[in-house]
Amino acid sequence: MRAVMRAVQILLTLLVLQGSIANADHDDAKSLADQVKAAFIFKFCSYVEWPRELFSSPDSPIVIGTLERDASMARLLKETVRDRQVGKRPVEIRILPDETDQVTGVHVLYLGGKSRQIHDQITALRGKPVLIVTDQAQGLEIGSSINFRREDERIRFDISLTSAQTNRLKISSRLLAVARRIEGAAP
Amino acid sequence: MKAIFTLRSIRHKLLAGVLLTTATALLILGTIFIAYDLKDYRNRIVDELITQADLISLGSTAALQFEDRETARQALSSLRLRREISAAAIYDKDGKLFARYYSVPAHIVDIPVQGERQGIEVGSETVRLFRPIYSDQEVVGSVFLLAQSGVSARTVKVMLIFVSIAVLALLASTLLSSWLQARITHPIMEVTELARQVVTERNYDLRARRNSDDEVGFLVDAFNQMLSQIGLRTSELERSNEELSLQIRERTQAQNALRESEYRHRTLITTLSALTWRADANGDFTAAQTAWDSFTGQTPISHSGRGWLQAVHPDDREQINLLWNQVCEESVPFKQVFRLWYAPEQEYRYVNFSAAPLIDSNGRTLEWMGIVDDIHERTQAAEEITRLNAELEHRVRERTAELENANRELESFSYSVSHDLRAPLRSIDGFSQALLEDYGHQLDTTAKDYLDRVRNGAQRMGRLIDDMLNLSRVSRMELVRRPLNLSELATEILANLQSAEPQRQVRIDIDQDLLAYGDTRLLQVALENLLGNAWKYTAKQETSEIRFGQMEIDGQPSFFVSDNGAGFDMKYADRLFTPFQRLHDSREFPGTGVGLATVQRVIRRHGGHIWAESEPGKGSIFYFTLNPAEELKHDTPSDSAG
Amino acid sequence: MTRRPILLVEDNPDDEALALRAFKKCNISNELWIARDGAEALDLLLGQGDDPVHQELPAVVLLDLNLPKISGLEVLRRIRDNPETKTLPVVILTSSKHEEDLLAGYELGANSYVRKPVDFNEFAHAVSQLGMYWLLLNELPEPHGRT
Repeated sequence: MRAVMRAVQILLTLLVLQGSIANADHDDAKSLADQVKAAFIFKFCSYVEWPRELFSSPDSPIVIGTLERDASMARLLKETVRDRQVGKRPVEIRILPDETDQVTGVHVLYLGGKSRQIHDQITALRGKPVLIVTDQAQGLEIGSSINFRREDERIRFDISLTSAQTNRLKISSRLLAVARRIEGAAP
Repeated sequence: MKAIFTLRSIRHKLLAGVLLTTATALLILGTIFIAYDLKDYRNRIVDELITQADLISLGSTAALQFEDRETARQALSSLRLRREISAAAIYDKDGKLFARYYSVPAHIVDIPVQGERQGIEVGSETVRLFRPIYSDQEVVGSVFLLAQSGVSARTVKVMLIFVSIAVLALLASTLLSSWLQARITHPIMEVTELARQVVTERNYDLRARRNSDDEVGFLVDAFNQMLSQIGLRTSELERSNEELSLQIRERTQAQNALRESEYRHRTLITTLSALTWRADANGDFTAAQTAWDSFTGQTPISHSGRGWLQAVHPDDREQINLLWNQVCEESVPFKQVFRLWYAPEQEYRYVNFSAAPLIDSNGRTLEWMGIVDDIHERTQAAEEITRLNAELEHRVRERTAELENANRELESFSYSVSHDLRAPLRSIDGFSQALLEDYGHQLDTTAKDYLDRVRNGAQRMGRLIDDMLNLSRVSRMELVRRPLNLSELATEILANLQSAEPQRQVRIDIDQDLLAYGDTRLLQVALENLLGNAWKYTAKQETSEIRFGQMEIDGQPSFFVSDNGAGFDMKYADRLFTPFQRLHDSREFPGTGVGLATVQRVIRRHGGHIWAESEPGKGSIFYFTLNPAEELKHDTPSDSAG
Repeated sequence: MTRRPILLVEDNPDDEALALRAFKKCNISNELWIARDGAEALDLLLGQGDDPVHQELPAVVLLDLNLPKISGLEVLRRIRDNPETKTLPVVILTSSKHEEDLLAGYELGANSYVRKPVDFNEFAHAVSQLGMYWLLLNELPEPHGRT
């Protein structure tokens, strides 16, 4: 009995431990995934072409916007872009209020929320030269240009050429080459 | 046989030379060609590989950035089309293997586990390349390529090509040079054969055939020319031999002729009675001098040596002796005139003595020969002419001196006349005046009248002297002609006359610008006389008219002076210009009668003439002409001496 | 008029008398020196050696050409050769009408050449002209010397 008890006890302990470990693993994995996403968002800038009139000079900064609720992503982005440039342009991170629908002066907008939350904001940005990056299953359907997805414990992304074209953006074919899924045909 | 063998040897040497040259050229060319080709090949491979690596880099940048190994693998798998690439790999920025490719599994071992630094290694079989992958100047990874280099295969291939080309080239050059040599050697052999023939047959009319225009052709030409030269020389030599023998014959004949001529001359000299003489090299008479002795009366003994000089006139002897010594020393021909004793007439006669040395080929005088020519009569005549000429000259000089003397005397006479003859006149006039002035109150009218007459006479004589001097000066003075304006001269003279007698009313009419070419002083004298006469002889008229002008008479421009004065009877016109001849009473018109004579002399000296027309009481007109300038050139004072 | 004397070089006593008469007629009262030949004239002007007879020079020399001993032209030449008499006015007064004499006179530096006319009136006239010219006008450079 004692032995059984002991065995159960060990088993429970193991389970608890495992669970906590798993939990901890889960948290670490989430944090690692966000780091990769932040790095990806920064690298997207190299493969996207904005309308030229958007920049006053060849060294005008590229501005990446996040909402207040995605503060952790904003922090990671800031770490990623520190002392780095896209071509000659420096990269800035701007945090916008959650409910804002007047998004201006931003070239990339990361929307981490659910589709319901961000639907109106995406709609409001339709036709404006902003690269919208989302992180949810229906991201492309509601008008985002790039949407992250997880595949085999790896961060991948899909691209909607339709949305990009609507927002007057050109996406390099080399980026398209590494996208999982591409929506909309090239012109 | 030996010649042919030598030629063959030359042919072989030529062939070997051509082949060696060709082979050397080919070897150098081949080495350069192979080295260049392999280097080029290597560069091409490297370039291609770098291009391939860059393509892979481009295709895998995004894959590396977004950690998409699958895409990277796909990028590498495109290399499957490039057979020469045996393995390839992509490493991430930390050098960790990211994706890899191999053509056959055996090459897995060739892929390094860790990325390496940039570099290319070209081996004989493989090429190994590492190249970094950049994105925005950031190294995001590196690419590795391993390819078959093919260098050794290429080397073998190029070598093979070169060797086959070399063999072909050598073969071709052998054939070509053989053909060319045949063309060169054949004509040479022909010439050789011909030369042998010429030597054995001594036939210089043979000629080699010319087949080409090259050096061999030139050689053939030269050979032919040589043959013809030799032929020519040979015939020339033969001809010259003939000429030589002919000359020898002629010379013998000439020598015979000379001997005859010498004999003739010897005979001539010894038999001639004319004055021919001979002397030895020293100028001494030696042999018999028949002619000389019969002329001079000397004997062979008296004329021998320099004894012949004793026949020369004593006055000439010393000079001839000296000259003869000098001439004999210098051996030059000699000719001299002197007096030689002529025995038949017992007198010295002038002779022309000529001598000539006979000189041998060494310049040595052999002897002297000469002729004595009697020129006595001729010399006498010439001497007479010279003497007469000298006398004549002497007389001319004497006469000239006399004339000059007379002229000088005349000068000094006229000087005395002008100076000394006038001094007493001045005294007569001056003291008569003094008497009249100082003692006039003691004299009665008659006495005063006498004294006036004395004074008048003295003054007239003074004028007469002046006029005579004027006349003689006008004749002797040298003419200095220059262009002058007679109108101005006349105006001036009349103005002087008017100022001397301002009370006279005279109408004067002078033509403008009457130009002449003559002596100003003389023409001034002439015009002074003519106008003075006109002035004087119109003094009795109420209104006097004097005109000076020019008109054409008998086609000649003539000047004239006219007046409305007393005039004269034309029957005395011939006496008008004679000195001291007056046509008017001197109480009525005072004058010396020399003025017009002076005018005439002036006009004549200018090559012109003067004449007059008049009628008593109706005035007179005097015409004169002056020779134009060019006709005056040879004017001399003598033409007016009368 | 200057009071300085006039030198008359004249060998003919008649001409001398007539000249004196002519001077008198023309009211020329200057002292008159007479030289009867060229040598005498030169003695008067230049002296013998360093001792001239007169300390002062005449106002004008009237020089005949035909003179005994030393000819008038020679006298003129010596006057002109001497620095003291170089500028002395010399008028040739002669019967000669020879151009050679006239030219020679001027070449030697004669100031005037007057021919003695036969007619005394003319002679007197010529002398008076001379006197006026050489005794009056020639003094112009020294106006205070006049009396």
